Parts: sequence; structure tokens; C-alpha cells
Amino acid sequence: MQTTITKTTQLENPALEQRASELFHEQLLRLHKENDRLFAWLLIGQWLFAIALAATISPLAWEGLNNAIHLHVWIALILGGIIILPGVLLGFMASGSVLTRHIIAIAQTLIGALLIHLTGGRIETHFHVFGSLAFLAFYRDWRVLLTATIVVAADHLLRGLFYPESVFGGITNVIARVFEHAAWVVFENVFLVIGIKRSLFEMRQLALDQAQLEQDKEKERLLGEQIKASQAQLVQSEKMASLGQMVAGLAHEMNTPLGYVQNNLQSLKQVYSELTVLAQRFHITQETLLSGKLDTLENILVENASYLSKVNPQRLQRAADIFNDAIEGLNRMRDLILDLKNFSRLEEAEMKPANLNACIDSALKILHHQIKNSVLIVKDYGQLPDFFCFPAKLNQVVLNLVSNAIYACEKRYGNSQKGVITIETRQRGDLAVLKVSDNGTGIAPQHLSKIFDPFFTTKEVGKGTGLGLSITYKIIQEHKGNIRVESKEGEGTTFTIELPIRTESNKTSMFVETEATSV
Amino acid sequence: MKIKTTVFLTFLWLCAIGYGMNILMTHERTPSTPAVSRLSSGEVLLPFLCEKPFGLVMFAHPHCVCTKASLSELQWLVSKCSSDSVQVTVFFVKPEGASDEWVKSDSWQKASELPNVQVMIDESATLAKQLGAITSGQTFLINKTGKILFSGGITIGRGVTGDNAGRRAILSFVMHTPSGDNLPQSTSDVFGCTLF
Repeated sequence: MQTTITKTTQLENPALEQRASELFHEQLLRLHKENDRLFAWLLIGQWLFAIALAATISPLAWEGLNNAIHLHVWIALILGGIIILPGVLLGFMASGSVLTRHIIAIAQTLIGALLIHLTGGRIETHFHVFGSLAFLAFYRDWRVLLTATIVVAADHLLRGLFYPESVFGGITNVIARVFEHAAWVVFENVFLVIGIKRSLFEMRQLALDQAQLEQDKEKERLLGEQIKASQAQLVQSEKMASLGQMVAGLAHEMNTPLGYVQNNLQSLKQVYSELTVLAQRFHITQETLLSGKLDTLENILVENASYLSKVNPQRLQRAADIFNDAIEGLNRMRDLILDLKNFSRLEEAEMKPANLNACIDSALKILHHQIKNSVLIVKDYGQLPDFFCFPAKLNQVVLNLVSNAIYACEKRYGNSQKGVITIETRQRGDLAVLKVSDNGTGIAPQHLSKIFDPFFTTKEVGKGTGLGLSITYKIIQEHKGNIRVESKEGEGTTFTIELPIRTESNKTSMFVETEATSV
Repeated sequence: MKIKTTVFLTFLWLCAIGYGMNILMTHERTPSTPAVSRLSSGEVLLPFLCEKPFGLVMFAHPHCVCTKASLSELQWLVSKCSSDSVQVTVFFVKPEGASDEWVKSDSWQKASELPNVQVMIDESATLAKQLGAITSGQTFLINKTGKILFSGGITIGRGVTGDNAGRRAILSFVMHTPSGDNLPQSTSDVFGCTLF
């Protein structure tokens, strides 16, 4: 069943299978390296044990009263050292390689052979063989067991033939005992190999699961990025929508003063040409008088009178007013352009001192064309000091709130009457409080908790992206302020914003998030 | 090239191990110097027979490790032989200059615990020299007339117990031969430390 699943996975997703294979081999390599280092230490331990064993069982060789270190001790020290040295060196310096674990397998079995010999073929020492095979199974590599088994068998056979006492403690039935020992080793190996195969299968399954998890995580990450990109696009759309709104408002606002500057200039052009003719006529009259040609003077004066009768005296008198109107129109355009500049500085990262009331007026100018036909703005400004803030972002906040208020009023009253939007500012302690109230449709109670959520909107499709209030919320958070809403469906809505008044003495720097907060 | 080097070095390594094992096995299998004695030298042991038909005498170095195996074999022989037919004595050799405390080692303790076995000190290895015993574990079987029926070791190797020619010979004499006067002396290899 489980094999079928693997095959199906491979067919469906070769990339998954490949990654699972990589993970499996990485895990196996890690296991081999750990085991190599473990066995290196184990070999050292066994070597020291062999020396201790020899020193305990047969420490000295005697000749009467004289003694010398027994050969067994030297054998344990030198031969034991030779046996373990390659395994230890490879275990620490080349851990993970195939050669290392096979050398370790050989060393492990030979150190066991030495221990058996040092104990005179004691049967209990033979358990070392079985223990070694079990430890070697940690490698999850049946070939290592094979190497160890071959060495054990060869050792038992060779020593059994030439010095059976050291292996079996006796000389009876040597060949039979060699095969008997080998049979027990094979018996253990069978179960160890079964265990190894099961363990490897579980490791493969784990690798497959991990690969699947990685894949799912990657998909999630990509999805997250897609969502982020979409969000960024929507925020950008909101920005563009606001910009469009602003530009539309600006274009409309610029059009009017531009219109009457143009008209006034036309009138002034007319006045200028009349004044030019009058100046010419004056010049001719003066020259005639000075020349003494009195016969032509009467004709000239008659022509002057005739021309004067055609000139509009009121136009001349109004010229000063016309100039003033044109200058006012140009000033208005300048103010609008200045407001646009302020809005374009939304990406500024530094707070600067600004006046909240001025920010509100700046935003209202942008919305002038929408305001004048739909709503009545009632301003109730309190005395507020300048304080550190992001003026362009506060403009954006006011723009969003007033736009929403206008929409609500239009939705309630249509063309029948104008809604009323009240904008109030006050200082309360170290807080600047801004209230924007309208008598529009109000917000349904079930929507109140969601209005600051991104993409939440009750407007018709195409009328809003649902990001205005969430951006407003973020801007207020940036200022470490508060915003709350009170609303009654069918009666109107009030937004109250509290901003800390930060002056030079108590200004703290803020981390600015420009993404998704500036519009 | 790397594979060849690896194979060569592995071969060298195994050869070194094989050589070391060979030294060890050669040492283990090489018997020590056997006793050189006349047949009648056993007369000096007659006082220790306690009027039994056979006397089994072992000379032991108090600290020789291999002798523990000899004592184990002796225990086996004692269990097979009737105490009425064999008097077993173990002489622990005390070289000149050694103290009695030096002699009374673990092996002495082990021998003392064997049933029906006399354990005695051979001062200055007097008896051992008389009998020509040189190696610890040297065992003699004598009959009532003092003839040495068996001279040798009763282990198959250094510190190794198990069936061996020495104990078979001793058992054969004790169990099947009333006196053994007409039989040739039996010998076997001795494995142990030098007595003096």
C-alpha cells in the first residue's frame, strides 16, 4: 500500500520525489557522520578497556621474584592501538564516507576478537560480537553488517584452526563450533537487516512528508507574495483613485479662475486698445495746437468727440476691478498648486511642525467642487498650536473623512437638499482633537467594527476600494493617536481623532511605514 | 589512484594486525621449560603421599596468572579421583628473599579451598630444584614407590582450561592402572611463569 503511494507520488510530482530523495540522503549522511564519530569514541573506549582488562587479569610475567609487564598488556596497548587507529582517524576526519564505516566495522569486530583472546575465550566475551553487530546496525547499511560478519567468521575460522583455545577455550569440535557461532551471527543479522529496511522505509516516508511540507510552505509563501502584490496594487489603485479625485478637483478648481482671468484679460485688451487710440488722438491734438494750425484743429476735435462717443466709459472705470479679479484668480491657482505640492510630499519620512486647521483647509480646497454642490461645510476651529506631524498624511486623513461624509450626505439627500458636514478642532490638554460629523446615512451597527478593515466598503462597485479608512487608521497610528467612530443609522456619523501635540521639546522619532499608508 | 592507495593501506593494516595476533598466539602456544628429572626423583615426595597409592604434586608460582588455570584443572582432577587413591599437594615456591605473605596470594587462597588438597610452601624452591621443576604449573604423578609416572602441565595453553593431554594421562593412571610400575613416563607441555 505504502509502496503504491510512493509510486503515485512519483508519477504525479517528480519534483516532490526528487526533493524527498535529497532530504532522505541528507538525513542518512547526517546519521552516518554521527555514528562515525560515536564509533570513534567507542573504539577508543574499548581500547582503553582492553588495556585495563589485560592489566587486571594478567598484569605481570614472573621469574621467581622478578617481574615484567605481561605480554598481554603490551598486546592490548600496541595491537589494540593498531586495530582502532584507522577507525578513529577516519571517524573524526572523514565521517560520513563509505570507507569510514566499513573500516570501523572491521576495527570493531577485531577489537572484540582481541578481547575474547585476552579473556581466554570466555563465553561471555563473545557477547561483544552480538553487541557490535547491533551497534553497527545504527548505520542503517546492511553492507556494513556484511563486512563485520565476514571479519567475525574469518577470525573465528582462522584462529579456530590455529589456536582454538583463544576462541573457544578448548579444542573440541572446533569446525562445528565455528559454524555454530556463524549461525548465531547470521540469525542476529537477519533481524537486524529487517530492522534496517523498516527504518529506511520510515526515513523515506519522513523525507517525503518533509518535502511535501516544504512544497506546501513554498506555495503558501508564493500565495502570500501574490496577495501582498495584489494588496499593493489595490493600495496603488487607491492612491491613483485619490490622485485622480484630487486632479479632477484641481482641474475643476483651476478651470474657474483660469476662465475669468482669460475673460478679464480680453476685456483689458479692449481697454488697452481704446486707451492707445485715445493717447494717439491726444498726441495729434497737442501737435496741432502747438503748430498753430487752427483750421485743422476743429476737425480734429470733432473726430475726438466722435471717437469718445463710441468708447464705453464704464469699461475704463472697471479696469482696476478687472485687474484685481485677475490677480485673485492667479492667487487662487497658486494656492491650489501649493496644495498639490503638499500632497505630493506624502512619502516624506520626517515629521515637521504644521497646523491642523491649515491642513483641513488645504484638503477642503481640493474638494471644493464636490462640496459646493452637495454639502454645507461648517468649520468650528479651536486655537491649536503647530505640532510635529506628517502634514500631507493628515491632509489625506481629512480628504478621506470628508469624502466619505459627502458620499453619505449625497446618498441620503440626493439633489433634494444639502447635507451638513461639521469640522471641529480643539486642544484638550496635550491632545489635538479633530471631529468630522455629517448628517448622512450613518453606518449600520453590524458594519461599525469592520469599517477600518482593509477592503471593507459599503459603497457601490467602482465607488471605492475600501482602503480609505484603513489607510486613515494607519496614519493615525503612525502619529500615536486615536480614532473612533460614533454613528446612528439614518442620522449621521462622527469621526473623532485625537493626536498628541508634539513640540520640539517632547518630539520623539517614529518609524515610518510608507507602504499602504500614504495615498 | 586513490582506490589503489586505500586498498594498499587497508591491506597493510590487516597485515599488521595479523602479525600482532601471530605474536600473541605464538606466545600463548609456546610451552615453557618442562621439568628435567630422573624417574626416581619422585622419592623425595613420598612423605607427602600419606600412604595413598598415588601422589599428585603441583609446583606453582604464587603470582603466575596462568597457574590459576592449572589449579582449575587440578580441581577437575580432584573431583574425578577418589580421595583414597590420590593425595594431592600443591607446593607454592618461595624464592630466596621472599616472605610468607608474598607467597600467600590469590592462587594460594584458591588452592587452599580445594577439597582434600594439601597446600605447602617450598622454601627456597628446594623441592622444585630437586625435582627439576622450572615452570609454574609443573605437575608430577608418583606411585607408592616414588616413580614419576607423569611429569608436565595440565593445561592446553597459557591460562586456558579444558581437555588436555596432561589430565587425560593422570586420570588414566589413577583410574585404570593399579601402580603403573611397568608403564613409561607420560609427559605434556607446561605453560606458566618461571618458578625461581
